[in-house]
Amino acid sequence: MITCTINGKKRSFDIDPTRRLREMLLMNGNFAVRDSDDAEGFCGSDTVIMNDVPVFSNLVLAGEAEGCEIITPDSLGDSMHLSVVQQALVDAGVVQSAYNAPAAALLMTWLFEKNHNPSREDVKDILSGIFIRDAGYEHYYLAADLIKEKLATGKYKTQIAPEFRPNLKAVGKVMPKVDAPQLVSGERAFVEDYVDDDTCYMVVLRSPYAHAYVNKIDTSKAEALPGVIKVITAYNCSDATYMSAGQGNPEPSPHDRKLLNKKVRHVGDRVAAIVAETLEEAIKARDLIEVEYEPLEAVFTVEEAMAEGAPLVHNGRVQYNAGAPDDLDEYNAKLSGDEREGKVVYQFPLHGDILHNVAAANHGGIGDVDKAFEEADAVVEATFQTSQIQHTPLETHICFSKLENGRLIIYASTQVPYHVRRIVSWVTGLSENKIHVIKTRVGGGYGSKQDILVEDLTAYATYVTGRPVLYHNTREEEFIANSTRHPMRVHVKMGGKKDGSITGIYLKVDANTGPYGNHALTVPMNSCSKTLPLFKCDNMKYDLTIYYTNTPPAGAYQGYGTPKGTYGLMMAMCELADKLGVDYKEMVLKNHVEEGYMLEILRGLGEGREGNVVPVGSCGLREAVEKGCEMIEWGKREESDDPDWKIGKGFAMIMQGSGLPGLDHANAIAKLEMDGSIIVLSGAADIGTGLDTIIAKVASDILCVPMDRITVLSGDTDSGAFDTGSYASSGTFFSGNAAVVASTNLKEKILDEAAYQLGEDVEDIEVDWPGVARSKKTGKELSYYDIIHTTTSGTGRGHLIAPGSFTTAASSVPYGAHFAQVAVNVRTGEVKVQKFYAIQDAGTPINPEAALCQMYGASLKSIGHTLYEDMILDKYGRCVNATMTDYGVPMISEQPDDFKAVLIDVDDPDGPFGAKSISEIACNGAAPAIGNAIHDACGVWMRSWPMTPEKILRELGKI
Amino acid sequence: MATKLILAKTPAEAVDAKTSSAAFIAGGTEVNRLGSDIAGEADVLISLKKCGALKSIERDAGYVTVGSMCTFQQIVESEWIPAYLKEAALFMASRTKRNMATIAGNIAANRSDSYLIPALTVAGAVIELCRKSGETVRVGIQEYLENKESYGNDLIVSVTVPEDIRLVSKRYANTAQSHAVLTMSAALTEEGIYMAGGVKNVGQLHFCDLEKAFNEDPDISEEAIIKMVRDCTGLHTEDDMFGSDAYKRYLIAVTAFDLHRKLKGKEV
Repeated sequence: MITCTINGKKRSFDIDPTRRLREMLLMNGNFAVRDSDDAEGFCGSDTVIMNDVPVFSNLVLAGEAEGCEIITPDSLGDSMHLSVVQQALVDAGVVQSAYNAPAAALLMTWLFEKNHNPSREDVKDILSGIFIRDAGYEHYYLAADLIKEKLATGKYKTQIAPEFRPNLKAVGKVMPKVDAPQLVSGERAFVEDYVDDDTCYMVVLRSPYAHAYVNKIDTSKAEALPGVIKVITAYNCSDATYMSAGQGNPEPSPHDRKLLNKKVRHVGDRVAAIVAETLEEAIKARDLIEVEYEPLEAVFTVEEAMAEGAPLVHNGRVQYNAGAPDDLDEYNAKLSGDEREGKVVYQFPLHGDILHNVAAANHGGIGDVDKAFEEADAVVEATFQTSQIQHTPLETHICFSKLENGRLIIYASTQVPYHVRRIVSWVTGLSENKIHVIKTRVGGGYGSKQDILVEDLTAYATYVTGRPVLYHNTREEEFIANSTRHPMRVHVKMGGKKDGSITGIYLKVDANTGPYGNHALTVPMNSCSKTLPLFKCDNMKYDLTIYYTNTPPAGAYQGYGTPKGTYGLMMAMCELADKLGVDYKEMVLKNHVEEGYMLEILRGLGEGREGNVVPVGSCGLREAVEKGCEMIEWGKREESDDPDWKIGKGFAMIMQGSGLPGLDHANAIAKLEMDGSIIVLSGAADIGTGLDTIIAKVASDILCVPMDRITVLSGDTDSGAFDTGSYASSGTFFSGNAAVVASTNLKEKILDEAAYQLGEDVEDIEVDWPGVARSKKTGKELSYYDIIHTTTSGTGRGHLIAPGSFTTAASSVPYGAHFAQVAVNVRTGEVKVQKFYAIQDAGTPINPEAALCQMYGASLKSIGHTLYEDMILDKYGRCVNATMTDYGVPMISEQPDDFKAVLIDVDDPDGPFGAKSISEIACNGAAPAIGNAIHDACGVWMRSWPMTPEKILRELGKI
Repeated sequence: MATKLILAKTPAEAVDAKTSSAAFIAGGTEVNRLGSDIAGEADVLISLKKCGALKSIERDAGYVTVGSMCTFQQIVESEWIPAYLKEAALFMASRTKRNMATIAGNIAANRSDSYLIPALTVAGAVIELCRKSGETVRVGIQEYLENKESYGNDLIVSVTVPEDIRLVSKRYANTAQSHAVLTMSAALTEEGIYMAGGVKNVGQLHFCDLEKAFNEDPDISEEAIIKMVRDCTGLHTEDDMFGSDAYKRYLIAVTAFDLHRKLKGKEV
């Protein structure tokens, strides 16, 4: 027995002392002590205080806790009674996806117990062992200031964030995110918190080969092992061909994967799934499976994939569900047709050509670029290469499924609950009414949870075994078996006149989608569709080709392909300005689009369909550029005291979208409850970004009901109505607008019912705070309680419920500019980002403090992509740095010393209360801003990311 | 895989329990971490966390003796620990990890990316070991690392370092939390300059040729040093995920030159 004190209570445990302390704490119910790195001692999710010292509980043996005092994050305060520290984190806006928020709260609490007036360095030091991917670290410093003020004076003095729209009470105001108390206090929130006691575990046997046929699998020894329930292979499971991309149906991605394949196409590809009573038994059984592989030659780069005679990643047959070419039979006759290959099914033509490893392609443009280059005074031409990047959400992919009364219940950490339901329906054959997807809180998505990567197999395992099943990716599996950011080769040619005007732009993008085509077209498409419309240029052309390879799969990643296109274009523009002798700022100001400019370039960029040609709408781009230049003192050269360090400045203009006009669709249902409070059922999927709060705020301002009397239930396919999901920056714009429509419809019903009950005309009734309907003519007033009480009585006219649906052809584009000041050591190649300013037009920021945190988080993430992050494959296609330490993500030590996020106030005519999207766009600027700053510092153009010291030294000719 | 945990209360108890199939655990950041070979191979784990005697820091006659179970954070916070060792301890960027990792654990792990070994080596650190026989022996850190197998059943009790030594270090890693590609230290001793460093995936190295070059010609040019390291056949660096052979050699050369330059101009 091990006896220790946990949160002030003496406890004894009958546990193997060589197990980890965290396992013992889970036995005690302290489930907020989480694990993000499989005991790597990196992320800090497992942090506890042991004998008054913060430690990683996964690196402590249970037996070593004998006689110790342990404090866990859930001891600080519950969601109804937050501590000062917890409340400050909530108020500062840092509690977003929040998988590590309880651990961060614990560390901050410990810090303030030791020191009531910690410095910025103290805060940096205590958070140095915590990985925060969503909100960055800047507002933790703000939270520390708030704590100091609260402890000293009982209230905050510091302004948390700027506020917008003074005529509104909720929208644009600093208010706690509605799920923040639950998340910061460590209450049940994530999939792992809802797992039943009788649940069995699933693990996956993965391919050691990048490309091979699976000729034989012997599972007999594994199946004979006690505790093993089922071993699922390609030979005993559903043969459905589908796609993991969770986006609009029919999808603009080829359907080219199955639950388990007879051909593996990357190291880490699924070979078998093992379901057993315990995790240990499942792992042991996995080791007993014997597989006979027939290795094939593999391709890992677009150059290898496009080479004549290259091995074919997909060599089965092609099928079209619409728009099949006339010569399809002849085409298929050239493919091997081997049954083990499966097939590639296009929902409609995407210009794919699997005989040349092309998953999809798109070509188009406006004007005449060749003529434009001839007329130019200078032309630059350069190729940029980007690396394969992992999202590294703190909560690795997880799914828990079970059967209840003949229905599949799926607890999913997903951005797309309705697409999860659809794809599970495809693989199980169950109709969608038999499937209930419950999106829990999501511990970090960033696009990776837009793919259905674990839910299909987990739900299928429950379907065939009848047992509750839990599947949870290891961190290594996140790297080798998840979606990642597409590596891309971006070739840019740009011509310009001496007056700084751009005459023509050519963009050639070759993208590596890996073995499967999820998001094959849509992500790379963004490298053109969310970049070229920045330019007021009549001659633009793009060629986009997406190749299959045998690397770990690519997929959606925050920003989609935009960061890559932006990197190439803005670096090329800076180089062109340099060549023309024009100031880069002046060139940017001369060539960027303005409100009303017709975006003809969009016609061919419609994700497999014809795109909408629309004029530029509200646009804060110029203001962002001017503001950033002023802040960073553009044009002023900075000198270092150390001659080895050279300082330079750079910036990039950026844009994104707010969902997909003509493709996305959102629904909400607003209900007036029996006491006059409001419940909004939303199809939306809040992944920690504050979407539920946005929905509550718009309902609050429309219905004049205080926020604490509004509850938003979202992401549940049983209780809500369809929503395409949280991706493509659609949440605020589409799901928010659906809530606007539903709330407005409910308001009309309330007005109508109040008029009926008061015996007056509806035109004479208005709603007012705090939830009353009032006659403008007579002054008579009914509370919402009065109204609903009467209308749900035995003689009433029924419950007041209003649906709201939102689709649009309108395009509300967020704009911005990101600025960097870097110092480069010209002898060692080291780079320090001294300053980083993110200036963005997000329309009306509905949650301003959360918006700022998302700008900080995405900016820091993209600084990481620019300087550090790179999945490195060996010659066999194995990822050699599939741990957090080896991979290299930015943490508080990497954060720029001077880091600012600024919101430009623009009121968009189509967004909910003028709002646009905020987060994805913030991934787009770092690479060109830093790249251009490096050139300004030391004269080299960095044409691939990450921009490592070694690459800089090579460019400088040092090695 | 370990099936037994012993919580040793004294060094003698710990050493007594040590067999070839047992492993000591100090802070746990190495033995218990993901991918650790030690935890997988040992049948018995001997935790030293209850050995209070190993946590002291003492100062005497120009030397500081650091108990083997002193954590990196204790080193950072102690007023007696010389600045060069604090700097090396702060190379470990994670405060939580510094709260756990110990000086002896870092030495015993003998990783090529060790935070402390280069500084301890050029400082001439002396390690006190407790043996099964009950005797204690003192060996230089370089002797300990070069013959680690022969000390396999001995327990590091303390590490003694000089207070007054001119010593500078530099560490290079992708991010602050990443494994270092190079950690290098240099010290000025009565015999001249002393240089050592850890090169990732190569090991802990004593840069004798560089020492000789600097000692023979204190004004040797950077170009000469770069050429010397680039052409050195005794240096077995290779291309890997941490960088190319050429990069590592260049970095060693430039860093050696920088450290030498700093030593010449810097007072401790």
